[in-house]
Amino acid sequence: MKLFRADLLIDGTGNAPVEGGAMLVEGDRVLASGRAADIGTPEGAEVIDAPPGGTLMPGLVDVHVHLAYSGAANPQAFRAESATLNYPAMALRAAGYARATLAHGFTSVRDMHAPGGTIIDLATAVSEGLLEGPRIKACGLGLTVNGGHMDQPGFADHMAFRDMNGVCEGPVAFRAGVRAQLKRGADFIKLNPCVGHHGRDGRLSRMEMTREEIRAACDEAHEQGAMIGAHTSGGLPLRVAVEEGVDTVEHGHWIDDDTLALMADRGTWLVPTLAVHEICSATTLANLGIDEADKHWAREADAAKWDRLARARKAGVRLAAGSDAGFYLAHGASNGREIELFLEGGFSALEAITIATANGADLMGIEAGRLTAGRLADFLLVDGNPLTDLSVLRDIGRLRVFKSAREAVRPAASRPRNEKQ
Amino acid sequence: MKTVIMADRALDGLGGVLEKAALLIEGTRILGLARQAEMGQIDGARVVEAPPGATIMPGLIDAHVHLAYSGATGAGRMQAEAMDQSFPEVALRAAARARDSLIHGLTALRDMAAPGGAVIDLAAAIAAGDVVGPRVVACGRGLTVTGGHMDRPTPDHVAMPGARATCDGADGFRKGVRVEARRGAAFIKINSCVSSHKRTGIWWRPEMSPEEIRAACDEAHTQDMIVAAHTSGGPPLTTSVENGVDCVEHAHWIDDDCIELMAKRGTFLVPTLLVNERTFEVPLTQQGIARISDWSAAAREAKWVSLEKARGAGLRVGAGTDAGFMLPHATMFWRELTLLVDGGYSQGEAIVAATSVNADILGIEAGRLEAGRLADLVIVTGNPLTDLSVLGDASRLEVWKDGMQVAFGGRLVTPWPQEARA
Repeated sequence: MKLFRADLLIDGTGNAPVEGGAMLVEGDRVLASGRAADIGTPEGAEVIDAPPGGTLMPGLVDVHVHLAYSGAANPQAFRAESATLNYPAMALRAAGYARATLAHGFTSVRDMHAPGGTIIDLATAVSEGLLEGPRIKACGLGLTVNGGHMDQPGFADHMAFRDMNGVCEGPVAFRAGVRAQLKRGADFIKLNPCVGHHGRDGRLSRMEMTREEIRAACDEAHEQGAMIGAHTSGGLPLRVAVEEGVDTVEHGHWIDDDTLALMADRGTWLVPTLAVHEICSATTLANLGIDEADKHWAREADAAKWDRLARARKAGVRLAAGSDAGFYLAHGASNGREIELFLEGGFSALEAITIATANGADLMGIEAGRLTAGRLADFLLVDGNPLTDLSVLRDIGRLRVFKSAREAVRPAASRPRNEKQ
Repeated sequence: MKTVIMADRALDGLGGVLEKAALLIEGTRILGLARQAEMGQIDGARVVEAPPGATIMPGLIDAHVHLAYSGATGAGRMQAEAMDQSFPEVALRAAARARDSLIHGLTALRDMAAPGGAVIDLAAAIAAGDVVGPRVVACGRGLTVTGGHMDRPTPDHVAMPGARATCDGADGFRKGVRVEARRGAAFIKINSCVSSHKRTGIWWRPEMSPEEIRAACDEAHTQDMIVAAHTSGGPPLTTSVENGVDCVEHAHWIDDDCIELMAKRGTFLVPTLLVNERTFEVPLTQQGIARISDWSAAAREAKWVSLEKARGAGLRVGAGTDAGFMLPHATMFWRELTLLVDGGYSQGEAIVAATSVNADILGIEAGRLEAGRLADLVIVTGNPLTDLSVLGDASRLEVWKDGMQVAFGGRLVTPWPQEARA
């Protein structure tokens, strides 16, 4: 049995933080948490204290990452990596990214598309304890229509790829696509029903899948007990996706109040991916070579996203933190930006932390994210108080990271010198 | 920065023993080995004291492993692993096995065939710092004839794209070499001579023709790669050596004229003694077989005779376990050394096989404690010259790679490769 203590306990439930907090851990689970004075020190318990002024809080959860990709901030990098890396090499590189992600305090991540089953296999290797990393839920290949968002355009006629994209056409094919990914070991399904529309008529979003295709994919996934996450831009196609049963809406820059009410009613999650939008938009607007239609879209999305977030909050839509790390954002160092941006969006630091812990765990369907009795002991000992300064969560030198009560090894450079590892 | 490691004893990897030794390293390389009294004070050098009674020596090298496979025994287990695991999964499992090998003192491994380039990618990932592991020198897939040793039968309806490298004819093997080289292979593995289980008393038969062997060897040599061959023995083994094979594996039956030829050509021998003995120590029920084959029984005896001849002729003999097949990775390497001792070598000679000879087989600048070599080291509490089993006890080992301590007492110093490299 181990007793962890800190000047501040944030248990992830959203309740007020506890000053002079403590948590008892037995095996890989939380036994109890609360005021240190109430918990006491059971006989034989090993006591581990956070530094003075430190915080005990749940491990962070990033519900939108791409471990198969490097995060190079270059529109061409993503395509080049797909066409030049072997899948075993991609999986091994991802193992390094997973280790970095965990060291930065993220004890769980949801992977939103990777070629060749690479991250499904990584999730297996981590869960078997072969390699160190966060808990991973993976969707395998994102399902997309021919020429769609995840059927990367622009490769030459003579290029052929195996297991790189989940291209489907028609309701039957999407049903088969869902079955194929679940057979490969996917934990959930990623769809691309609704995309940003960057050209021609100035529309900001358009249908990519038909209503029937979306319904078929959702029905099949739900029949097999799997959730559906959908890349979306907004507007009518997003509403259709929600109506047909999508469980998590990713990105979703434009959402009208009716749709938000529907999402709240159905319990549909919104993952606003603020961090990737921030960098993508800035890159687009700063780049002279980029098409005016893309800049128009970026400006409109910039203008809409905060208002959308405020209305979602008011409507009671469930929110989770997903950075999209791997796409324009480096793994580990960048994931935490998403939490800071919730603060900019009008949330309190405590609310942002709840969104990035309990909410993320709920979305992923894992028994973590709250330091309450019976939960998995995924937690952080933070040197500092994130409620007064969220940026301490992005300082790897201030974090001790525990997954299933086991401490992840940090890079020595970030360890205090006097600490023996 | 310079580092001096002081130890009561140093084995230089070439058979030399130095008492009260000091090893000077800078960056990734060894600067020199001397007696502590002669080394004197090195300005600004960090001094590392090995525990009392400890021995410093080059890192161990296993010249014959299969990281893609677990080593689990049982009917169809290896085939099940080959058929159930996607190549990314193979690579990730191999990464864990490689890391465990490093913790057990193995600073380099030669991988003797894996599906789909998985271990080629692992070798690159370790070198790039994605994951921590030993140096891995990989051949990619082993080249084999249709129905040959590495093209075991599968049902008619089963296809395994990328898993195997089946070649026929001289041109087929030449292309096979080119394909593995393009994929990133560091050397070439062929299956030229196999056992014959069908007829008692015939312990070997050729699988590749002399022309096929010659074509594979010529192409590999043209591309500056050496060729290692799975062999059983007898005249087909001699044919393999005659046609250019640089390193023969297993080779239970080696004719006298072949011994002479190998000595003349400098052909390496990796006798893989442990995997042969495992047939007799793993319970038959666990192996999933009813009885031990006549071939295995005959090979068990023959290998000692061949090893005795090899030792007499001064052949360069390396140490390779075949880990991944009949035995697990990491933990059993030391036993190959004790078997070399059973075969007539001294403990010191067995260590030479596992260090400098193996480094030469792998083509890496390690395996010796001498100036200019890579600082891949093991510090073991104890004296392996009197008790080789100390090398099998990870709790006694401190492992250095590239001049950095990477493992200690059975665990990694850090899973962060960039730190180990710093």
